[in-house]
Amino acid sequence: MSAKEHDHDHDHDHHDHDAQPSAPLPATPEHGYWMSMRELAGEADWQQSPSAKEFPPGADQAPGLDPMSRRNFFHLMGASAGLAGLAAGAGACRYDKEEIVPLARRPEDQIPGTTLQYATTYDLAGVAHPIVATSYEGRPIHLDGNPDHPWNSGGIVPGTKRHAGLSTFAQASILHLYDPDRSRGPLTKGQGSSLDAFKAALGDLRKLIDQGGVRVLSEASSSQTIAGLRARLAGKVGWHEYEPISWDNERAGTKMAFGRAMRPIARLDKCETIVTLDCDLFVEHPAAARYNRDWARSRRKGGSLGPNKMNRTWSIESTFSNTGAVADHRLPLRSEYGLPVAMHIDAVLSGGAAPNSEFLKESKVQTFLSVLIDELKQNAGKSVVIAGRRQPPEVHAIVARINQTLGAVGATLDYHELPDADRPTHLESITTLAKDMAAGKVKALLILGGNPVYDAPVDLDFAGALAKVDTSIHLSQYEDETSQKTTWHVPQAHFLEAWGDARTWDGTQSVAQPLINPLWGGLSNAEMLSLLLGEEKTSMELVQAALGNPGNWKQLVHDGFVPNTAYPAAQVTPGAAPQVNLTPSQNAGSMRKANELEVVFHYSPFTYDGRFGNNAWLWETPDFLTKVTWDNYAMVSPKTATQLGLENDTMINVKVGDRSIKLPCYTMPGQAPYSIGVVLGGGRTHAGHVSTHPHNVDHKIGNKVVGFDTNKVRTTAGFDIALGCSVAAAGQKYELADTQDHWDYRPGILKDVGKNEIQTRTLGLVREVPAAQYDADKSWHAEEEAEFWDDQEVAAAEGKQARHLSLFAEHEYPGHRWGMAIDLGTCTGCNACMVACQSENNVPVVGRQEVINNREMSWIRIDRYFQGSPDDPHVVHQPLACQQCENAPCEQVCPVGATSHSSEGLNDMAYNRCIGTRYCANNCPYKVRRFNFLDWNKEFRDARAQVRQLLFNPDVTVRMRGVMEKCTFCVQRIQNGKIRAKAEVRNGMKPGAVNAPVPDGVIETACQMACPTEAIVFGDLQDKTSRISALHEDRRQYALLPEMYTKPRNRYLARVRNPNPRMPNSAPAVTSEGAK
Amino acid sequence: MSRFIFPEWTETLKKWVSLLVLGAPIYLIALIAYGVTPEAIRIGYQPEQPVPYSHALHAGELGIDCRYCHTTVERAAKAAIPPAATCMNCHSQVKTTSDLLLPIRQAYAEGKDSVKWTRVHDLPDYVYFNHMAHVNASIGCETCHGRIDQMVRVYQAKPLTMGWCIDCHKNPTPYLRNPENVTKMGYDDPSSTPHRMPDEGAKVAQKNDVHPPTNCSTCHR
Repeated sequence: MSAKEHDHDHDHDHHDHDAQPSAPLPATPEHGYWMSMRELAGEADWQQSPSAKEFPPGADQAPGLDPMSRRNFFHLMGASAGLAGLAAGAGACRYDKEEIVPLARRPEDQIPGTTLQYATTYDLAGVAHPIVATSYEGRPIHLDGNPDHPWNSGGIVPGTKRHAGLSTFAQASILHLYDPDRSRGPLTKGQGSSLDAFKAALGDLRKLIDQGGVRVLSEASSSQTIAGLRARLAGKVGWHEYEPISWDNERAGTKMAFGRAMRPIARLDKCETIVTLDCDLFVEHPAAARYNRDWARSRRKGGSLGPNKMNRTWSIESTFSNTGAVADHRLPLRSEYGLPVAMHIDAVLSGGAAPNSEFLKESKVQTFLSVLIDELKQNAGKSVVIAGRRQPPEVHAIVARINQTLGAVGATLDYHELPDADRPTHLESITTLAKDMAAGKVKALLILGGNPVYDAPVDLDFAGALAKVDTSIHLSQYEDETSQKTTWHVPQAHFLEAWGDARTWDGTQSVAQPLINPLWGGLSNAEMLSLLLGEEKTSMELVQAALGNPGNWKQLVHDGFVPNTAYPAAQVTPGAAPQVNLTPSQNAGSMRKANELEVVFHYSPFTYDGRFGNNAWLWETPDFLTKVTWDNYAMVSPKTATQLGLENDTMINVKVGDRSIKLPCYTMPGQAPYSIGVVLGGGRTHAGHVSTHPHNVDHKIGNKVVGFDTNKVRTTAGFDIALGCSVAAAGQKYELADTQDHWDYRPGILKDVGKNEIQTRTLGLVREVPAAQYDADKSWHAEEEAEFWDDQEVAAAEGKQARHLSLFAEHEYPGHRWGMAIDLGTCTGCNACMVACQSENNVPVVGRQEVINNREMSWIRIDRYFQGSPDDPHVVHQPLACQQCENAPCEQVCPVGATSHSSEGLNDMAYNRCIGTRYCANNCPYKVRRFNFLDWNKEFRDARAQVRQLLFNPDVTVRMRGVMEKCTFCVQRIQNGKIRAKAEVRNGMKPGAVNAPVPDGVIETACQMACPTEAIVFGDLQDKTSRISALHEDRRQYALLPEMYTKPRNRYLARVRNPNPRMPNSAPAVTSEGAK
Repeated sequence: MSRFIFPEWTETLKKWVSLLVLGAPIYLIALIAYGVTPEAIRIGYQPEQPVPYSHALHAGELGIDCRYCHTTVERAAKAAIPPAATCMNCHSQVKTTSDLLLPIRQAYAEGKDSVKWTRVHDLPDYVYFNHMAHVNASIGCETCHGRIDQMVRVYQAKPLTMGWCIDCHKNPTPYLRNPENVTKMGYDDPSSTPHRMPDEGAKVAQKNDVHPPTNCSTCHR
């Protein structure tokens, strides 16, 4: 059989070779939608070969560094199948003996097989993320946002009572709890030690405290507990705080403006005009949870701004951020220009010093800024300007003046007092420390978390300075780069293992309660400080002492926060504009020489600053815009790339000052010319197995870890923006694991349809409407009239002939009819849904090499379309999971009935029945089915990694090799919700009818819960009062590929764009031709 | 030498032998086919348990309700096996020195070395059975577990196969009973009190609006 298969395949390949396109297909038109630079160049797979396969070459190869031949693969498959057969024959008589081990004494409320929810708090770089953790029989398995926390409470879609999203980083943090690579015990000078030995050593160190020379380097912290312990050490122990991704420029800027550091927090739900200056509101900003919610509230037509109103978002930035991607108007501009731009706006609005930069006179910039400033004036009191963390303090000070002039303070913006307003900035602090260490002034150093050897500015030579410290202790979860250089390493407890507290960006005190005992005996930061103070208090005692009064302790822990603890808002007035001398570079025009580039450092969507270096979920979640996984890279604008001879998927030399590194090049549409976006957080040498696994690393260029260490060119002078840089091609090919051309369903089954057909189809997939048209024409519907699906009954009732007829009998839905709606207007592409799905549904990770082979398993992907020219494109995000078609093409072709229609309209997938023909995936017009080419969970059966199994959701089958899988609308949640609702009626706990609709909002999918803007709504269409019923009747709703008459249950809401009519070159939203 | 003539009975023997030769494979196939059915393999599975707990004594003779121990059956997917603490409710007074109860007393005293019971009713891992759904819909314990009240050591009484499940999901009426009698044993025996009334299932089906789904995702997900 295998020989025959092989021959057949050989023929096929041969045929493919011959079938070259007769003529190259022309590029996609200027203002259409397109998916990648490759597509624009006519190089996408479907453009290359009319008969291109569904899967790219190599997708049917077994994994391995030297790919095994297909023939060998089948041999092995045959052998293992035979063995499996034997084993099955012998073992089929009885299942494995299973034991039931009840708790000897079951705690109250602990019901086997059910989950419990606990409020807790994740602390990312000193900022609290309020969380509700789901625990199954004592092990945490899933994290959601805490909807009752004042920081993120309240819904966005009308009818939603409670909602909270959660960022990708916070969600994925649970993976570290069960990471087998986490440190399991103290080390001294690389040798295994014990906690008792460490305590003894610490006792000796304590004697040094009074002599001075002991320092603490802490990761950023807003914890009351840490602050209390720190106060007890004050005067004796020098304290330093450092974060590689820091918002201290904002502190310094407000200090410049007001005389003391303040924290500005905007009220985006009250803004009609939002302007961001090199700032991402939705992922990078510490207030992202609040900003997502508030922005979506004012973004929805008829939302918080009142009927028919929506905000207009402007963005000026060098590299696309999530905010730039949803902005109505975006100006790609070097980050360096933030200062002249802010000065210009301030000068026009309130008569400050006007800059005389050449680039401001260029017509595009001039028009953009003049229209923007006019709108700001017009919307004074209803507008806000927000500057990003990379911008220097002067920009923040000037922005404070602009907001003052606009009357934003108190209306759309609040300044909050900070308790630690006078602390030095992170950069100053680590610089002082490194200098003191190098000078031999530091006898002992305690490092609480963080990884300064990896991420401190390279010119400080932190590792070298550390060598001069006699005793250095690093408390961290991994034996990382810093732990290699310290004399002691002590395992740090995960946040789900120890008590703690932290404050959200607005200051609300949040309690972190543990859900499990430390798996490997870690200490929390507070416990370590307590040891240093010579006492041995537990994290609970410490937090309780710092926060609680015994009366309401239980309530605090239950709620997860202390009410009314936000930093107080203050009325402040900024002083005169700071004296600024613009550099020659800032005064120049936008054309530059090759050695005048700027390098801008970005947080990593995969590892943040490197701390998630061993997090496979995040590594494999594609960046929201580049769609690259498992890497970090340099983003170069298409024009600059052409000019400097740089190509996508090649290595380039990035030279910053006299340091240089090699990075893969990504030609990024919409990147500001002569600005290089460099992603941080890669190249971790001691992150763990994930970052060094051969399948995740590109060996061809001699790389041994995932990504590249970009900290090697990050200096104190060019910490956020480095100037005078140059890049040059390094002449090596490098394949980025980029998913942007995967699962492209536009060509459909006909590959040789040509650009016009693709364009027409894309217009149907991504529907947008300008706000003016949406308001003026009340009869406008996203769905074209020709697409209305009158089913036979509806048509007959209206005396019409049904337009569409199915070959198959239409289904009947006597009870629930589950449906989903996804709002393209409020999706910011933050990827939270992808991580939530991965966590909820045990979606496996496949690794870098397998992503290149098109085998990624994500059930929900986010398609990203560019529109317009590659120099300044618009962006639309479209999350795409199984559309749950009523006339599902997948169901008809399954030879074994493994996928079939449920009476509630779900396309059920029975994994145990699937034999892996893949007919269903082939027949799916949306390309949302995923096939387990290999046993992705194999390594979790190894003794070392078994602990990882504890993270699996026991309500969802872990799929084996050879079966198909896809989004199920979280059917486990639907079933459990239904059963509970029915049981409650039947046993009299609740009134009502047994088969009545489950109350709206009781059943929520994982992606819906994670979405910070509530762009995803799920519910029962049977219930006419539900939110989903209303959304399915909305004028913005439409279905994908309606011409196929699949009748998807998943509907999209067209995106309403809100361009300023005075902006000339704002690419108008393209609406499909037939729409009225 | 005269020719050997086979006696006449060999003709009969020939028939029987050929029947046997032809029939043996069919018999063997049928035997094996039956032998690997869940009915043959699973029914009667009766593993040893660490403590020889007798349901016949506790549930039968003493008449303790199922829910005294399996407390979660009405509100959770699993009808939890009771913790040792439940046993000690009585056995701190009764049979306090029995050797057989030693594992229970140890578990209770130390609070950690739980008793490791062997699972009798074991469904495949891809089947998500939910007790709460069935008990609240008035399916009796007995329907799936048999006469537990007569089992000294518990064995599997019903096939618990997919076909068997679906038979009931398609037509649950004969198995439905008055909700208050869900845990009664021997309910179908007309001589026991209480016992099933002729139209009881239909009434309960109507009152409780019982329409069990037969979608794949009802049990597999």
